[in-house]
Amino acid sequence: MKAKVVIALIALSMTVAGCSSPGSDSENSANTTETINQPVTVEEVAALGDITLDVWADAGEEKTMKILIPKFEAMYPNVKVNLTIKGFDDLMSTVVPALAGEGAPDVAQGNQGYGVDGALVKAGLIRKLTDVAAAYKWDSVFNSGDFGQFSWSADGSQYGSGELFGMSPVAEFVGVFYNKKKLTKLGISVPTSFDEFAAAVAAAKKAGETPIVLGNSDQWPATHVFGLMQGAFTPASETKDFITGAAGSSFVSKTNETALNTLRDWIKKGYFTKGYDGVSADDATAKFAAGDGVFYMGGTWFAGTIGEGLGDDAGFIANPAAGSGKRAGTGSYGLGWHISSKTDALSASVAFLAMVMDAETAQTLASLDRIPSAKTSLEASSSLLKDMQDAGSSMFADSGLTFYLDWATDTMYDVYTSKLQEFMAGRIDASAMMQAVQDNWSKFQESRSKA
Amino acid sequence: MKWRPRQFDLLPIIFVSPALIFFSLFVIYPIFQTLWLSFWKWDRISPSIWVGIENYRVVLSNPEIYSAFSHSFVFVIFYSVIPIFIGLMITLLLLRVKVRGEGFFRAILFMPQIISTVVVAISWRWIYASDGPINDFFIFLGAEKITTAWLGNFDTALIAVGIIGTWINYGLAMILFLSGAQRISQDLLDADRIDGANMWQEFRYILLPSIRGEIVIVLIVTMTLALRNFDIVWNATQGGPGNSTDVPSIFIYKSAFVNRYVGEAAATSFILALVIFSITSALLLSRRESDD
Repeated sequence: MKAKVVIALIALSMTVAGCSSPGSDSENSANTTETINQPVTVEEVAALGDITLDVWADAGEEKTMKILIPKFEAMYPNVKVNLTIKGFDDLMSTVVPALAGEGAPDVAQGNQGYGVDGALVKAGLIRKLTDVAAAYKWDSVFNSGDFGQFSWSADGSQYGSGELFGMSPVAEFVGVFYNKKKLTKLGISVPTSFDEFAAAVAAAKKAGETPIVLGNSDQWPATHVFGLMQGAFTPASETKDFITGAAGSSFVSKTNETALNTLRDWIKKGYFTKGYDGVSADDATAKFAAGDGVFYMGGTWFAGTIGEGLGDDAGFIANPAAGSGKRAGTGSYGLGWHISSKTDALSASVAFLAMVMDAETAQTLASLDRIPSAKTSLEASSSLLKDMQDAGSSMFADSGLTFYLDWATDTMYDVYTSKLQEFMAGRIDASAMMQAVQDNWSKFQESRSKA
Repeated sequence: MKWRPRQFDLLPIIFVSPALIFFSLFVIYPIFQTLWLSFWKWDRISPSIWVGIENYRVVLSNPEIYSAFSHSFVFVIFYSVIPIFIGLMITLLLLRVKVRGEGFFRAILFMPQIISTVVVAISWRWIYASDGPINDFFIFLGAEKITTAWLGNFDTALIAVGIIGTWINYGLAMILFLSGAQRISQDLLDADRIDGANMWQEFRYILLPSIRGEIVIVLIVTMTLALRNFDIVWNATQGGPGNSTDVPSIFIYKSAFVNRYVGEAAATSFILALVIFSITSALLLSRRESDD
């Protein structure tokens, strides 16, 4: 009887839904097999005739694009850029099917890791950029050690090395913002090591301040705080190996346990905003920018809000290092720019990407309070930006950007954020937290090797 | 009544056809499309693979889906049972006491129903915040120990989100009950009071039977809201802290659009739809039976 009902339902749904397997009408074949050996010239782009270049970008790029696109259109008058701006969550949920569908954008931003970029590479939706990188000599402009976050084996099964599939002109990383006025008032000097940081936080607590402002209702901010703790204790290479899925990697380690227990200890001592799980990241940032608290462990992307609020009182340091003295912490290059493998305007797409990556754009980015990933030295528009550039240099020098743990698998974000929250609330211990992350990782590696 | 074959008449079909076409296109077709998708493994980009009922096995063997459904059933209490109780109490009160400017109060009490749920959820987030008015009130009373981040605390988040639902839905219950109660003739009420009926008897023997239909409708509407709840939870807690306020809709959203497990999302959707369908059918049937 049950079987009959199931069969009847399947038959009915087949009839109504039109019998075809989902996605069978999408075509992922590449249009271009052309190789780029030289920088693209204006004449090559002009040869395309009047065209529209479709570009999809994250909302964080809006200001940069407003400056860049008119410049691009003036240089290549036959190209009209049609820009689509999306909020981060929206972009992440739509960019993959958009690149798979008809009318795919020519140039689009994805996100490092298995969830987005991995899916794009695996399905052959984005073009290799190894030739473009060579033609434009990106390895002399950027730290080639950082290319791994955009590198995949051609079938998308192995992450961290292989062909280059994306690139970003900015770096974004988590560090420690501090309120200079408060530090002076408390008689604390800017911490240069993890021990000094711990002492400063303790002193702030003793003086009745909120030592570290945190808002974690969005669930990801605490992962950045833990990323700094992890960066202080666990070598960056170990964390990166785990994220890129290197065989034999493990999240269950003594150093991660130390990092977790330090975090829990700080929570117990009341070093973070009271009721942080009920405060949103935006509200927490706004509070710190309005003068609440002494430290704020957050990403460079908050510089705009914090700099506006605290002005010259805002300072920033790279994640304070423990034992090894090496600076490491959550961070990476910005969302990677990709070229669709279906584009019929390859030269224009390459020219656009090249402009996004060039030295002039780096200065534009710096003027917009962003941290260019290029090795060139730039003028900083404020003392806060200068602090962030210095922090960036020290992190880059130590190859200390440890990426984002949720890149590790396509479902890691949920597991990591919720288990960390449970751990911080004292509902599970460090080993249960580490094991949950490890289990998700192992299951994913297993399914990957099967595929 | 026994079903008898009737002579085929085209006219009624022509009359209902616009609605029928619309309903088929936007309700029937998506339902079956979802069912069809639930038999495939598909990530929205690669070719799909037929997996039969495997997605259902995966979904039903995930312990987190059960906790998500259990949260939904807790929400039924807050979105449905409590609002109906409050609505009944207000109706009973207004039957006995004439309030000046009743229309005005009715409109005010109905307000939560018409405000965008995103606005509602964000406003409540501030109300529940560590430095929000609820905690201020407790501090004012000298009960600082009770203060917490209501939506950020594992022990209080689910109830706190539930209360938002109560606040939204009691207005709907009240308006429908009051309109139903208007059918009760004043003569009946007068007679019953002369006979010395107390408030409970008036409630039990006059109000309740008169508005039984409205109660079932409110039950169906609010229970459906509770079970398919997404916007309020998403904007208030995103399912957190941990997974303490996760509901099936959040599961579906994350599977379909964040992790791109379209088949599993479709299977979960279908299970959720079945649960809602069973409950509403049971309610409608019970109403029909009691009407007979």
